[in-house]
Amino acid sequence: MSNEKTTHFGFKNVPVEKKQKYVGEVFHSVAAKYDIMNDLMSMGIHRLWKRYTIEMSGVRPGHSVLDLAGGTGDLTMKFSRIVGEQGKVVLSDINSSMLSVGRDKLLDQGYAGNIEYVQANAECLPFADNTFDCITIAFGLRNVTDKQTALESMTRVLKPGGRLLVLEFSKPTNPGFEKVYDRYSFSVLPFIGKLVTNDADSYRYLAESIRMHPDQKTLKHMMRKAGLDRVDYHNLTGGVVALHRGFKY
Amino acid sequence: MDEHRQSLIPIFLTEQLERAANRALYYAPVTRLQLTKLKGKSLAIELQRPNFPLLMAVGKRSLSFQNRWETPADVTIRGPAIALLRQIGREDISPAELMQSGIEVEGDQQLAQQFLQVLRDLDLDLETALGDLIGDVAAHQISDLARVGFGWLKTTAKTVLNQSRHMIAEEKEWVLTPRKFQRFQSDVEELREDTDRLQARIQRLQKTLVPSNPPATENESES
Repeated sequence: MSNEKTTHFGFKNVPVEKKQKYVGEVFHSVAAKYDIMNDLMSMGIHRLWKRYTIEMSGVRPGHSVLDLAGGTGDLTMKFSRIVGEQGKVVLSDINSSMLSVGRDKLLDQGYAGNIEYVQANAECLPFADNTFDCITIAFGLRNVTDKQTALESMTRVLKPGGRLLVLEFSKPTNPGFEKVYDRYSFSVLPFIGKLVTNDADSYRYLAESIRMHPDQKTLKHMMRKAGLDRVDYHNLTGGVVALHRGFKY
Repeated sequence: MDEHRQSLIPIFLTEQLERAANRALYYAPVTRLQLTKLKGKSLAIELQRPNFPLLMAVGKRSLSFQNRWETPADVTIRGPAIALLRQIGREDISPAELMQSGIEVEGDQQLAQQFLQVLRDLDLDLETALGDLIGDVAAHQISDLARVGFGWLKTTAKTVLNQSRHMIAEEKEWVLTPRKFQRFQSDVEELREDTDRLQARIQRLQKTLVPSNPPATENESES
């Protein structure tokens, strides 16, 4: 019997060191059609979830912001406008394909000057302590192998008084709605994935990884353990998504 | 309490408003130019009945709207939604009038006036907007037709209104003209003052007629 440490990759258990590779393969596969798939799967609601995150960020002109697992740059685009020329936004993703799609999209739309691109692993962020006024990670934490280490790393690079916002799929609060949501996730999502990207497996992984992600209260506890204060969470769309917010003091 | 349920409706409305405003701005080059002077400034509108807070920030190339904010805006306008909507089209608004309608302005008053002026001066190039949808030639013809149509409607409406007003007030005399009404009002006022004076005079006369030591009653004289 093997003594290898394992972690979950969707509903499967895989060796810890392999998860990053498998997640990488999923995102290399979906990167090109990531935005269109997000619109189709959430019926455009992901834009409202992200908008709410920005409103809760308290970001002002001159701030420095880290958009972790920023993928195709939806949040970065907005933050770039808010922080202005005196501020800075770092768009970071572990996946080179996602980062590349995000960088091209932002440049094509004229966003430049105050944006930097960094390919980084959230578990060991390559930034000095107390660097950012705000860190966001939208729909990225569930793909991280060691979430607790990642949260601690984020807390380290936050400035005192800064805040971390975690936007992530969570647990629906209504049991009736949860059944409908389950049916949608395991039947409709892979079907749309198959139709649009010819890749049902990646979207099956998406549904499975959502179920394996810590629920609202567990994630809140993890954020507190990472050293954040005043941690609270806001359920969106009946708890399908939750925005967790914590401050570093 | 650490758990909050957040409705997405206000966020959706704000998103749509932002889109519409920036789309409109695209077809209003003069307004866009005026707004460059206000770059970096923010206007908070706190609508009451229905309650809907909104922060508008002027960016480099666009406007952005938010439902919640932490840093105070440069200027805040708050008041009932209907009262605020009524003020938009008006040319001159005195502070007293604003207060009467329940509108409060907090912060940089001059900036508030500048924002309102931009809104009043908004001149959308609808022909270009239509042209982007259906082509320039068709858009030009429709716009010409609309201009003639609206012009005719405006003139006709004005004439009908004037003639109706004249007929009701002057010909049929169903209602008073403003001048006649003012005259009547001042007559009533004069009559009221005369009546007050007369009443005061009567009271004074009554006082002089009543003796200071009234005579003893019959019972008192018998005892």
